[in-house]
Amino acid sequence: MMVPKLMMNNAARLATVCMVLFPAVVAAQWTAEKPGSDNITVLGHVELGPRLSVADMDMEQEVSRPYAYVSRMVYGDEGSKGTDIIDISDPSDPKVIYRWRIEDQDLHLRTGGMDVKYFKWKDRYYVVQSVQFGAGGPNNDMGAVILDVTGLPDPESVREVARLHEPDLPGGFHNIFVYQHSSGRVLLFSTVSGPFAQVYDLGNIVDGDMDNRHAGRVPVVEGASSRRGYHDFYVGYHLDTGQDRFYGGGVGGYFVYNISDLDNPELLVTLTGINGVRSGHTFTPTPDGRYVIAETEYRYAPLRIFDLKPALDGNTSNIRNPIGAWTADWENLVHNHEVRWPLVFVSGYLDGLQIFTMMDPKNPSTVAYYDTYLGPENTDRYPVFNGAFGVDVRNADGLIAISDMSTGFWTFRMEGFSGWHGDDWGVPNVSSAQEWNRFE
Amino acid sequence: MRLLVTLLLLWPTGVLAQGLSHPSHPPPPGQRGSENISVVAHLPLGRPGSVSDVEVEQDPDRPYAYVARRVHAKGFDVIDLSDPRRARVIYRWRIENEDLHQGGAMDGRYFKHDGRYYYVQSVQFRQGGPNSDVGAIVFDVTDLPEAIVEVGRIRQSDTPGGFHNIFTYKHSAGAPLLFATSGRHAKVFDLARFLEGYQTEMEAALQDENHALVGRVPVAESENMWSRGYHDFYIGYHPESGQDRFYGGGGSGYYVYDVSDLGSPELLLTILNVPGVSWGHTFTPSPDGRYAVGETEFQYQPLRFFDMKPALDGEVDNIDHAIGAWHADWRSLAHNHEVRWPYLFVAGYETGMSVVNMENPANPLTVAYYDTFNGRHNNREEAMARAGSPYTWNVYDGAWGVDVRNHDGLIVVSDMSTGFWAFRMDGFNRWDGRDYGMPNISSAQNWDDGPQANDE
Repeated sequence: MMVPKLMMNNAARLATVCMVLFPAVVAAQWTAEKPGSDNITVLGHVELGPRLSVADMDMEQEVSRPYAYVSRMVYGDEGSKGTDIIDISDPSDPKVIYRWRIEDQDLHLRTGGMDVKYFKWKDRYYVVQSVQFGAGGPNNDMGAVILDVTGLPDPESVREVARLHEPDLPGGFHNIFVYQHSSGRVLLFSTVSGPFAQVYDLGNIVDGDMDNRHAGRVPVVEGASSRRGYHDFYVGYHLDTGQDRFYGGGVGGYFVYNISDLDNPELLVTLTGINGVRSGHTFTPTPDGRYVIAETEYRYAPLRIFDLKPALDGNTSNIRNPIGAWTADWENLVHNHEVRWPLVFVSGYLDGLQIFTMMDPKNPSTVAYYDTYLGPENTDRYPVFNGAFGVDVRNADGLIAISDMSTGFWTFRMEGFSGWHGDDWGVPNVSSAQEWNRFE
Repeated sequence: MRLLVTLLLLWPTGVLAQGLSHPSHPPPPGQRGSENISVVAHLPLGRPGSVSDVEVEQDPDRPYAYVARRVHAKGFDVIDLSDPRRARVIYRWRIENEDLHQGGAMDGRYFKHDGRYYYVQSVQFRQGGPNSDVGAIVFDVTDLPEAIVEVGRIRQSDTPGGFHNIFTYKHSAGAPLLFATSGRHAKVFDLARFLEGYQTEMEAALQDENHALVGRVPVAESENMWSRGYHDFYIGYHPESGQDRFYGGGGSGYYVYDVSDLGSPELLLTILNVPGVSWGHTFTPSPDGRYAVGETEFQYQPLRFFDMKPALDGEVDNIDHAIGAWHADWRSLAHNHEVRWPYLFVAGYETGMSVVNMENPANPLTVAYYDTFNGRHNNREEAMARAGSPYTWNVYDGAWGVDVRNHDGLIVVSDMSTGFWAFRMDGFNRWDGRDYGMPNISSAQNWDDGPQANDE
């Protein structure tokens, strides 16, 4: 449209006046017209179902096994409870190739599938789907279902191999983490309705030795109530000490244990008494174990960054002051995250995918984003519990994937990020991605 | 005109609704404030960390402000605002034997009784030095600018440590009251009775220290309480019910009591179990008592806006969520505030003074600001070097207190490091709640006629 010159001049003047009246107007960086930063490319997107029906996700790390797993839940009014298996052999065209669903969907109460992790054992590949079913319906004591997915992409080959029931700890597993321990065992860490993380030996389970499924427990600090423990955790190898370290968020804050000897977890560091943190949520260390990123699951809470060094050096046993913090939008809340030093990949609920650098942990800064959810806040559930729930990164080629509670599954590439290996950054090659073959 | 309409149509309302944003920190030269804020006066008062709260008298013919001083100077400064552009310190009161006293003055409030004016200075002196049992010191300031006279000291030897915060309130029954944080209660002192006691022949030391204590407002019990006492409070008349209402922050959140009968405070509602709020700090209602602004004194915490209607209507006992929130800088923390509906005047520590429009409490907007601190935010090393305290972590510096003079809209701020400031905001020349369809209720008291008169 042509604009008369006079009008343009006046318009410019008035715009200037308006800018003076409303200087440096705050606008969200991500809008419907421009949901992503220029350095992010959307490769693929597949809708999975109704609003609020998608939970966490996991992605296999071998490019030759291009599969992602997405938990399906019912947090809204409708949906289905189970796991979607997505073929990402062409990341620009992800396809759902298998849907595992709990039987008798309507009888199973509460949310259903929550967290999901894959693992490899004796050259076979498995997926652990954590579930939470409410009392009054079946399987209230079931925490996880294990599927053998070795034969993918043939959907007919997927078979259920085990279910983990804990009659004394009903309510299911809210979060899980799979870790190959330095002893060679493949372990499942799970949140349970007790003051500890329950640890399972997945090798024994898939080998059929259910009598020896339990591998240990990691406690929360003394004084915790019997019904509440961890919300989430990460387990990683600590190269400097040769320890297997457990990083858990839960009642009272965050806790780091040496779990090299699973029978005797040794408390290394506590992060309690943190102002504004009554209960820890997601908690992830840097590859060298010095810094940790800690989430607290309430609106307005940023991700806090702590330096564990004073405690690891023995100068104090408790850390309570963050050295830095980051948020996408302080009015919202960010959720899960994956550390690929110096980058942190965040599933930021209403703010979608966010990536920040923590090269300077005191001053983290956003480097890329893509808003996978452009809808409104919830009015029927906690307002900010919508949008990007889970995130994962494939180290081999830098593929980024997001599970969005309402918009489904997304794949991305970030300019200049074509893979991650700790050696390239001068840090141990430690992340949530396990090296399944390291003991072979 | 058409062009204006066109541009206003083109200008996205969603953008307009965002309000102003604060500049980077420290702000670029010449950009410390929004264009609608004018600096009227600035008085540096001393070493960084030596300034705490501020109070301004409301009567047009008494142009005085009081700034509490702590740590390096323990007392208060009186500032003459008869010509606001030439504001000057006219009196500096200091506790005797300053070096022996550990702590300092915190909150200050004035009141009027029987035609005379008084200023109450709360103090907190630690044990190990003198006067740890003194909570407040009362001064007769009627004869300013010529003289002030110490009238007496309010002691509470059973709860040493002084009064962290105080509030003076003209009760609907007529008494001028002092509410003070002390132990597990907000203690209520009848200031008229206190003054009467000092008009007798009796030696001050022989007086019963509780002779003016007329009430105690408890903190309602709940599970896993963060603290057992109050941090701060506001008391306001509620015209619709005819109640005197107490709004306290402390314990594990916020509490509203009916204190019409000081002998039997009645709990009206609680605001507990709000995610992120384990402890209440400053808590101030809107003039009609429906909404309240709650601060919690932790870094990264915004000011939260609560709608108390569901509890006041009897639908629930407790409010457990905010309907809105506001931040000047999410890495920082806002501190004290004054409500002059629809405006909220905020002393925002490192972000300085902000004015927020809370007409829509679900979407509060910054409408003006001035960065009295003018330093880098969230820098622990600098804060330690400057103020010597890591309290509230890296953000404990800058604007501590704020007050607003209703008859002419003068805004005053006390900044921990940069001293006393006075401002004017374009278009804000006075405040009377009735101009906004609200009760004329604010922290400013009607000392002559009582709170009921404010709504006539």
